[in-house]
Amino acid sequence: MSAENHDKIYFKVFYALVGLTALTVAVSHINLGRPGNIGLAVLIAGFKVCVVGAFFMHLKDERGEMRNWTYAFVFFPFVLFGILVILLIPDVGMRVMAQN
Amino acid sequence: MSQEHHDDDGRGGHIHQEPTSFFWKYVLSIDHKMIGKQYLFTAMFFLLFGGMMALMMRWQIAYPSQPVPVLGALLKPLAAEQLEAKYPDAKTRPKPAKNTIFTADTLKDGKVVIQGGAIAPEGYTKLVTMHGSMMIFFVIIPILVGAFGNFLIPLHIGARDVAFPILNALSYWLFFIASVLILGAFFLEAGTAAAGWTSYPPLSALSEMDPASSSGGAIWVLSLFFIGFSSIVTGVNFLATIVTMRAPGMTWTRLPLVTWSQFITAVFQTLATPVLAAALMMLFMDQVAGTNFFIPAGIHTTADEPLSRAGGGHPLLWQHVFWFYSHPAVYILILPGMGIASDLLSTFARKPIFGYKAMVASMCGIMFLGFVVWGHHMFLSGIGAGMGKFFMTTTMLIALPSAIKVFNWLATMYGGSLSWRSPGLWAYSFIAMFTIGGLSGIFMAATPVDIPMHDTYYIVAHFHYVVFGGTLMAVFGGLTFWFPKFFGRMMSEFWAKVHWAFTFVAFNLTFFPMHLLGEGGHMRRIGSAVEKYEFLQPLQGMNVFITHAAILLGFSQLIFLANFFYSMFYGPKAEANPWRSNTLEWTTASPVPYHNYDRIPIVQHGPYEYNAAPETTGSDWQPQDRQTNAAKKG
Amino acid sequence: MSDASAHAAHAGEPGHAVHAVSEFEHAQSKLGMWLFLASEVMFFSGLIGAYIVLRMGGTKEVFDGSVLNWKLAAVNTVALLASSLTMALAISAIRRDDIHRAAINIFLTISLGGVFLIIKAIEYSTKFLHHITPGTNVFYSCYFTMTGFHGIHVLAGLIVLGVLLVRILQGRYSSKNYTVIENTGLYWHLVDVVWIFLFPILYLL
Repeated sequence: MSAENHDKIYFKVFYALVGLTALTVAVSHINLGRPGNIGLAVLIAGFKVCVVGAFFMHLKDERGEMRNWTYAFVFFPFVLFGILVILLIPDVGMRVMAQN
Repeated sequence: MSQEHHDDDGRGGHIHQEPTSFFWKYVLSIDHKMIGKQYLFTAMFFLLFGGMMALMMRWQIAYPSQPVPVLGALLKPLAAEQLEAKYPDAKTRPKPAKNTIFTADTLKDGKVVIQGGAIAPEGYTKLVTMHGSMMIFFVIIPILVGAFGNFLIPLHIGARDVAFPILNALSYWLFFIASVLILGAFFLEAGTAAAGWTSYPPLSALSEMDPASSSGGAIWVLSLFFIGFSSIVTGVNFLATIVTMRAPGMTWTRLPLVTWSQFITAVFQTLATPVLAAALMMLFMDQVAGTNFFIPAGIHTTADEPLSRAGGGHPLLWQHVFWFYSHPAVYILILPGMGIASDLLSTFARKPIFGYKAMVASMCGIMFLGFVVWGHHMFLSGIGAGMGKFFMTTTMLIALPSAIKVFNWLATMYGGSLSWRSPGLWAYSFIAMFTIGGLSGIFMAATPVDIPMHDTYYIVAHFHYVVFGGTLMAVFGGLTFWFPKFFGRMMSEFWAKVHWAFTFVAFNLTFFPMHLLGEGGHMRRIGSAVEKYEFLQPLQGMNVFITHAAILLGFSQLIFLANFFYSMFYGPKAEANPWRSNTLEWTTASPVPYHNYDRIPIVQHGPYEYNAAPETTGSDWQPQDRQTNAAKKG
Repeated sequence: MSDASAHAAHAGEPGHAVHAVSEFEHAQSKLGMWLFLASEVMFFSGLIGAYIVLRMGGTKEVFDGSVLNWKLAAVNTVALLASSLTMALAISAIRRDDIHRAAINIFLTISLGGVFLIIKAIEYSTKFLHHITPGTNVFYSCYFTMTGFHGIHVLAGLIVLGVLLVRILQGRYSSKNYTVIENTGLYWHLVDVVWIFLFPILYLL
């Protein structure tokens, strides 16, 4: 892959990211109900993050043993984040709701 | 001029020149062995300091409002009249101290009617907080990870240093800064934090509730933030080291269990500690910036007016985020100790560890399950029944890997040629004490049982059995065992045994009765329970007994200190492998030379080949970098 | 993060990249940076997780993103995305020994990051002028804390990038010695990633 091609890909990724940002702003004005809006925004953000990770951070280009370790250490924190949030919802998410 | 050349392992790592000046050799060292020693000595200071605080607490419990011997007289603040006498000039006279740990003398007509130097009520909670915080963050974690991890990991994997030596030095100095901060809090006007090492808000966040919250409490937060940062950097360093720097032939299944335990611990350190950092920063904001993460709306103290806080937060949020880290933290507190015990056991039973793969799998099981059990610290905080059920289940599940390890240790001992040298004694007592601590843990895991037991001395007994009886005993064993590698000399075996005997007996006399105290309903973190609660008065005899045993336990540690420091300078010089142990560090000289190994070893087999091929050449041990006798025979 | 660059063996030859970083050290350093980034993800997980559950149970009146200036934040988002682009281009350039282009792109990254911080400063000062502080309500507690810590990370990144810019111009980096730049790039992309999440959940929802 020549350097110029690599750079071209970076520009394409950038344009895609800006486009997705615009999309995020646009759909936030459409009322899909609270879970719908949140879900869609997070989904788009998640996709943007994957794109940044794969192309800008070169995760796509990793090879070898380091690749597996890197993927494992990148993936696991998101799992832990999910566990933290899910288990906090009944006590804090729904509790504070009841308070209000 | 520093000369550098590429290492002989063919990977392209660099060798650092050994420094000659005192400063670069002992102060700003980047050598993992020296950094390990720095951690060790700092942590030993805190062990003494934290232990002293525990004895002060025990004194107050056994002899409420009695002046503490020696320390009380030395450290009591001056009363108003005494200040007038000492500072005649009103302009330069300091105000009488408030929120002190010790009481001041009470004077009448210029004469002392009540001696000061007893533990003040608010002082007791400061001691509780500082004892816990120091022991966990400034003693056990630094010794296990900072001292043993740093010193042993490169040696065990056949490397010359860790992956990032300069970051390693940074880790230590972050720890040092944290140490200065936490000690500095004692000199603040409102004193140290007093909300327990768990620092639950709103108490820990609002200075209307605890005057120290926005000063000593904030310093506590910052200190822990630095030490957490130190922990994270170390975790990153150790993970990178173990993944990338193992010597040729050192496959994952040939790693000593010490290294495996450090690896799993490093995962916890890297991924769990940052969540503590987030919690600490939110608490800090609540303390000093008026935010409301953990402050509910309409909160008020005993006064009728609510505090002028907007509220909207929830105290349970702190508990969840705090324990999300602090439960993995307790695995940080035990796993390296388990690794040390495994290595010591194998060496002193002259037998391979039974079930190496199961041992590794158990530790991996603890690693995954350790992230989903934290709610068992919160059974009584008002979490729902469903959450309680979930955490009860996961907590009971996580007992299984630990149980597997205990059975494997016992199976290792069975049929072994048990040595009674002191490291062996520590390993055997580790297994027994850890088992007792683990058993009380099973009781507490069951939510219905935890309801009466929570926040009683039953819990105190549990964690002292696993952390003191377990980890600290493994630490004493490890220090005795690896002393030749650290300092090139041997500790006195006789005095090590004396220390072990006194510690083992005094430890059990101190902490076993606490199970009974807890079952009797004696709550924790209270300095004068029997004065306040009539139903506890029958237990006071036990309290006094425990205090006496604790004093014996505390003073017994002086034997260890004397042995340790005397032997460092005057102990008999050690050979390379005085224990005939298999792991790689014993193939190099005692003390370990700066570059660890003359040549990077090539590993031939696992670390526990004791008596593995008894019919061959007379030796019951096989260093990891030699071919096994069976292999040599062909 | 390569400690090898701490020992410059060629004294008397100022301003030259002195040795190659071996492939092993390069991969090792990169793994170290990824591990550190994993810890950063966990740090922001704690803050973002707290915000999520506080918001879930909070009232719409308090947790209302429309009190914030999403237009400024959108500009900030594009600025950070562009800075990630220039960062990637910088690394691409140094791998081709194009020092000039690398330096320009690092400079652009710093500038775009600077724009981000300036806009942030405008946002904050506007709020403070209206007597809106972190203590005003729990939404602002979250907003100031999360964007504040993110901003601190941006600032730290800019400082490191500034140092790197000076060193690139001194000729210390090349296609054989660019590990530090790549690792700083990884850190910078993480800062961008965090903002990609913060922008919608604070401003748009």
